[in-house]
Amino acid sequence: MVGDVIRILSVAIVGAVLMFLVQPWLYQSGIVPITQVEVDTWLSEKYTVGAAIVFSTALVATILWYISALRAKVTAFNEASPLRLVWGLLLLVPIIGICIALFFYNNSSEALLPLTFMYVVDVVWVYWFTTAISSPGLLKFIPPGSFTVRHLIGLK
Amino acid sequence: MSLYIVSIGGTGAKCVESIIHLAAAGLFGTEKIQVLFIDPDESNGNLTRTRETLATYQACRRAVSSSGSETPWMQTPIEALEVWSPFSGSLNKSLGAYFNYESYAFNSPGVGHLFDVLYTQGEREANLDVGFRGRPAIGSAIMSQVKLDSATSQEPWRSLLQSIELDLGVGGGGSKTRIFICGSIFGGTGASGFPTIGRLLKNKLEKSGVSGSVKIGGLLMLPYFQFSVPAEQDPGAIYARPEQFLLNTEAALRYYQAQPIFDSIYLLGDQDPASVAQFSIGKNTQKNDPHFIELYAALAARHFIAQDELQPVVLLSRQDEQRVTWDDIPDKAVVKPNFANAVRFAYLWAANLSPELNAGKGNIKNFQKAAPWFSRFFKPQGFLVGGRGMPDLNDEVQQDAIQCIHGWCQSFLRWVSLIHGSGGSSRSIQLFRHALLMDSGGNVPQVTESFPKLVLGADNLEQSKDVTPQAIKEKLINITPDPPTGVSGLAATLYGLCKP
Repeated sequence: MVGDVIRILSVAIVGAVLMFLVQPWLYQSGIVPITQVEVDTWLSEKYTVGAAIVFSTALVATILWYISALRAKVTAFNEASPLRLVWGLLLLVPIIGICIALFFYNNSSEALLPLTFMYVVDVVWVYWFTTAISSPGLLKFIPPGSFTVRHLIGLK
Repeated sequence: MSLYIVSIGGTGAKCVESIIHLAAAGLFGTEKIQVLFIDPDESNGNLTRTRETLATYQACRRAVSSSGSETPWMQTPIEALEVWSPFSGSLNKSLGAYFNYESYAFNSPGVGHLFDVLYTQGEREANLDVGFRGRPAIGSAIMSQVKLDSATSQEPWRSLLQSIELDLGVGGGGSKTRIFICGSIFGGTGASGFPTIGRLLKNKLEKSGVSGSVKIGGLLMLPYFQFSVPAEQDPGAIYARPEQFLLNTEAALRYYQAQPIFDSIYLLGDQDPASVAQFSIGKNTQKNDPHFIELYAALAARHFIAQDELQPVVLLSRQDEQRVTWDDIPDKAVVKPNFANAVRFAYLWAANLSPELNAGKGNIKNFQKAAPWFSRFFKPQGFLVGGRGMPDLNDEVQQDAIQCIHGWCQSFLRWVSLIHGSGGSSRSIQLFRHALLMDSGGNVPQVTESFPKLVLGADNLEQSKDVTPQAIKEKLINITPDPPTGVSGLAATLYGLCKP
């Protein structure tokens, strides 16, 4: 359990750095060009709030998944498989966060596509990757792709 | 220390059945046990079931031997010599034919008349392929004609005595050897064979000059079951009569008092005999359910081989007339954890692991994700997931091993369940919650919530969160160092984790 928590925290911290330092820099430096709006104002008024919503929903979903998995009473494989549905339902939380962030906290049509792409990458990192390498006990391989990922990085 | 068990009659076979089950639980060490069955009724139901139990044990032991693990489970090699009947090769299996009674009229009329005084016509002509029909007088006459000197040229006596001589080495300086003879005192085969075979073996060993290196122990089962003779049964026919059991016992005990054959003798009985549902003269219908007193018989054998200084007579009693608890089990500090370990493992394997493996073998790719312990023991399926050199679950060897272990679990749990039910309405056997072990169909229920409650008198287990099947399977995932692979590795690892 301690190992799982350390991994969740580590990945969340990397995700936060990615979302609040690296990605804003990509816009500020012009690597991802935005010309319709003033970049610094857009970043501080729109992007930061939207990214916080995506980050927090993904993190909350991850924590909810971890707690659910920890408390789940599973004694056989046919009891574990249906919990993939729970994981999928929790994925809706950060997806809804993305929708809210894009709809309410973006006033640049130019930024829509790169922003969507980056939010999806963020959710993949903060929710999917975290749950793939940190799910506890008999549910460790329930998140899709976790079996391969864990074997690849030696966390089987 | 080598142990040779001579099982006489149906009761002897039931004692051996219990010995096999306790050996599986690691209570008989690593020294080989050889068993010789003696029974004129070669198709006796009790004997047949014991031989099936032994075959199941041996198959399971072979399946798990490759794990190389050092659990106490299945560590005792047990071999059986072929069943010996005093009528081997005879077509007419009657007392009269055995002694060639018809010739007395011409050759020795006096002997013939003496024969008529000692035996009725019915006893003389009764077909003895169903055993000695509860008549020790018949059995003793036949058994006394066994000549071990000439019998050693025939199997299985030849193998038995050669094996003993091999164990003792040249000049008797080899390993210690013990012979344990078990049978009933109140029936036919046991009552007649027990003293006779004991005396014959002792004389043979004395002749060979090795009797000082071989200790002979005996287990006499006093009456512990009874049955009702059906009204339609001919009262003049020859069969065992339960009302004569105590009389036979009293007569036999007088004999043993005067015959110093055994280095140590164990007497076991029950003041409240269990009722046997079905009357049977012999053959495959003579099949009584296991009884808790046979558990004590196996513990007696264990006590016999463990003692350096043998006690001539061993007595035991229980604390409460109404119940048998762990406090009534000799050497409880060793027996209880080993016995409990075996029951917990057998239950978890049969109720959970075995059905899971059978269900998952058809779709390993999905199964391995929902059963994360799988890839620690078997080759996973997928791209870049490793597993080179690990066994495939669908391999025939692995599938056979699953069935062998499952078969042993069923056999073991059935025995445990039945010995608990043998107390009847007047006594309660309180070692395990036996109602959880088997359903009405004789199968292990695939419900494991009761797992922490299996062992009675083990409250710390019921309260510990580490005891649930889920917790044990999570330990399977994280166990270090890497466990042995395959079904044998999985079973051996699980056995270790089921230790209370």
